[in-house]
Amino acid sequence: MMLDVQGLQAAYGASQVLFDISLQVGEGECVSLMGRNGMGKTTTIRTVMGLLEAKAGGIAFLGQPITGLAPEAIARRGIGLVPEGRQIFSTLTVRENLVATSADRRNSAKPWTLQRVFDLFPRLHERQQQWARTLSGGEQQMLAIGRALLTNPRLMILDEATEGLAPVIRAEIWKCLETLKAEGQSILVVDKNVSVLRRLADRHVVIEKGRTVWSGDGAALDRDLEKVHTYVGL
Amino acid sequence: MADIQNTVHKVAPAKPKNVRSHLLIAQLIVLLAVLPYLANLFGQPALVSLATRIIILAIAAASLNLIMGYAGLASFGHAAWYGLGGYVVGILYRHSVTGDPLFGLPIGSDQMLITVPAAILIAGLFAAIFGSLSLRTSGVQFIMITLAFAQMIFFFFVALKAYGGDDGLIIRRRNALPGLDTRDAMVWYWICLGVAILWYALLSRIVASRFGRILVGVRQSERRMAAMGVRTYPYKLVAFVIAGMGGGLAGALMANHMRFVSPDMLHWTQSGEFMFMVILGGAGTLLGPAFGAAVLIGLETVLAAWTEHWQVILGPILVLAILFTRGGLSGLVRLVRGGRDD
Repeated sequence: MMLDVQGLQAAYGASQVLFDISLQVGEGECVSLMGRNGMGKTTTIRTVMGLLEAKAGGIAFLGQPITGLAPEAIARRGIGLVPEGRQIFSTLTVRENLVATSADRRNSAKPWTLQRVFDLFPRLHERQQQWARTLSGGEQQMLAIGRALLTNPRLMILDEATEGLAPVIRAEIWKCLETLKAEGQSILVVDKNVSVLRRLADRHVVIEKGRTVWSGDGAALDRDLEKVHTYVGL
Repeated sequence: MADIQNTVHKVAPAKPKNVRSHLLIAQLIVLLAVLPYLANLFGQPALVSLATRIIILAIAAASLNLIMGYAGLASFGHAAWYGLGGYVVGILYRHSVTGDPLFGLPIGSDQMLITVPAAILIAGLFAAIFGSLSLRTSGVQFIMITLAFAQMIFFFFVALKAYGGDDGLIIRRRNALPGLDTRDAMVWYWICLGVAILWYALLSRIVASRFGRILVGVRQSERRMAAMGVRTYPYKLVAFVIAGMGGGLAGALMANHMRFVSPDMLHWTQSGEFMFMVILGGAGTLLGPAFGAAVLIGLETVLAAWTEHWQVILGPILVLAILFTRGGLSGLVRLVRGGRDD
């Protein structure tokens, strides 16, 4: 198992947000994490990335516990994050955003390079000398994905990657994820778009009020679609 | 994605060279190089010494700018490295004159090629020691701990009676540089200008490198950098040491320029002055600290010749300049030229 989260609990000060989150992502697998707003999806990701301290439970990556490690140590083990709200470096150019944090720590057979990212997102190639803050929301999202890919992650986590984007741009992002999945990239994608995730993800996890309340594969999702829709709020 | 994927790479990938900026810098260098002749031509030879002082302070301010402007680390102890650089020159000179051993060794020199690198190294060494501790803090704590370290060094030299204590050390002759007469004000000006150009060129390379871009990212969000797998501490420490070395270099030149070094060089007000130069000129811009140093020292000189209460006038001028020039003087220049910020 690539990522294994068991009974995760986390809190912001005295306010507990996660009570019992469990999810797994296997090698080359695409897993969706769904749930309504405020149910703890982003908090789960922040806790996995070490940006928020876990109160209880365990997180293992490639069989090694990563609970309590610093965010940079977790990222360096091979988790690439596309954070909620893009969070690109606005005072750097597109190219600088991509290059500054790039690394190939696992000596990949086919490492992500600037050219590969530009092939995936030609729009970034066109705008590589522009300040990142001058990009549209969709282009910023592409930049955030490109930036994460250039760390050559074993597992890529996308937190609300299509949030606030125009339908045509969303479609581009989903297509990009399909391409990455086809290339064998392990992905954990946080979103609410059940219909797209049904097609894209191999397995699905639904959380409600800080607890994993449902998980299953595509067939299970088809069976429990109404239930999942209720959880996701559609 | 189809429409994007089918788009050919229309725009050339190479970064367009900012020819206008390079031309402007070249013009500025030429102007600075002929400044001593112009000063003499207009019967103002004292301007050469003033310009030398500004150039030296611009080196120190640019060094602080690397950590404060680019990495967002507001060090309130930059005068420590500046003063240490000055004292290295002063102490080595004293021992070269008296012949007394230093730490039991026959150390002492009045050769610039020895004293200046020594000042840079000692300042860098102390910056590495203090930086390794102070960079474990952030925000107000970082400001206060850098101030505390600098004050420690200040009081150490105040108490160091062997090297003049409060009264400081007199350097009777500027350090020698083979083939050049450092006692000549114009030659000394050109030496300082050459060193400043080299230092600014080095900083320009550092800032444009991946290392420099990571510093800019750290300023925006250190946590975000960490989440991308970047261990920020070593980057900040290296930047802090480079800044310290730049401070030491400026201090060594200033000690030679003034032919005097005292604990005043290490005082917190000197650190404040460096911060002011950076903010006034434009933090996070390459030439901003040089503009800041020129305007601050220029105003100080002009106003001090006019009235003894010059600070009362200088203060409001500086406050207004910072309030109404977004990004300091560099921001004002950009606004006038219609350019974008860096």
